[in-house]
Amino acid sequence: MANGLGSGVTHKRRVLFVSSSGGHWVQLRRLRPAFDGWTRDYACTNKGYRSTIDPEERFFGVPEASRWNKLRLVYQALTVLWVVLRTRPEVVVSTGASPGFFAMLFGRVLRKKTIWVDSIANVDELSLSGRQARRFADLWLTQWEHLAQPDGPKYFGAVL
Amino acid sequence: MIFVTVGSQLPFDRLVNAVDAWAAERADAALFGQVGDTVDPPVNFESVSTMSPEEYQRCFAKADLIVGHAGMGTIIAALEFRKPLLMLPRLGSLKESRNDNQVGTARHFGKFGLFEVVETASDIPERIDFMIANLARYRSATDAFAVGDSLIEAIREFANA
Repeated sequence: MANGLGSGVTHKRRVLFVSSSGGHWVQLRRLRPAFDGWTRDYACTNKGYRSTIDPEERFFGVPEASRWNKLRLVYQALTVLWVVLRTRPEVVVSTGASPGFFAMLFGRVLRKKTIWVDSIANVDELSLSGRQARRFADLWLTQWEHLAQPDGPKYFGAVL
Repeated sequence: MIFVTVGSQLPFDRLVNAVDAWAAERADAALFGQVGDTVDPPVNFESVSTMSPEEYQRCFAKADLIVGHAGMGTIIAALEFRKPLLMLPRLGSLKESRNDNQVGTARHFGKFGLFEVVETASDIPERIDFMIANLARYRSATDAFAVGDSLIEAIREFANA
């Protein structure tokens, strides 16, 4: 387990989950068991989800944006950057879409481990954000076996 | 009760209007809708634009049948609550979605015993009638639904490496 810089105090390891609302969020939450015993933080575009997480977990709101509104995208990116800096996670996980891409980007820049699990909704090809996240995701996964490739994305199963 | 839901992101008038037309003929049917920013809100059943996650879960728990888009939030909730779901996939060409990925999603999940898929909105009324007549059959559907242990294990291993 991670140790607090020789202070002798054992800190829980931190993970940050990032996604947009709806199905991405539902799938993101289902990955929680992989981080049992960790301190878990969440960032999502739907602030209503704050009330749905466990009491010991923390929630951060992120502005909505679409790829057609560049200014909103910049605002969203900066918010995600702020959340990554503020929560100081060891690992960043996302299921999509643009907030997750920014989480992979800044996670990589700030030397976190980055994990992308492409939404199970993408049956015929990887999502646009998933394809763009490839450069920044240390672990780059699809939830469909037929979309897996030798050089990634990898397939280890699905959330259901 | 039939719960009509279009998900949290975009409106879906084609679906809502088709269900509204069905409801016009069925004064005795109980429906409730979460319809987003629909241009023509339904007149034959009550609806809200958005709801909190708690309200959403309550509606799923109460419903006998779900009518919705082929979104993963809706599909996973239907599996969690074991409710029959009629899906109309959103089409990118009609700007109902960014792309046609719901067509593929519907094709794969349409094989599940709890789910039915229609390709056009005009098939919705007939399919709702069919599903209501066969509710018992959907209740006995045994689609597997568990968090994928192999995926969780792979992520855990990577995070701890």
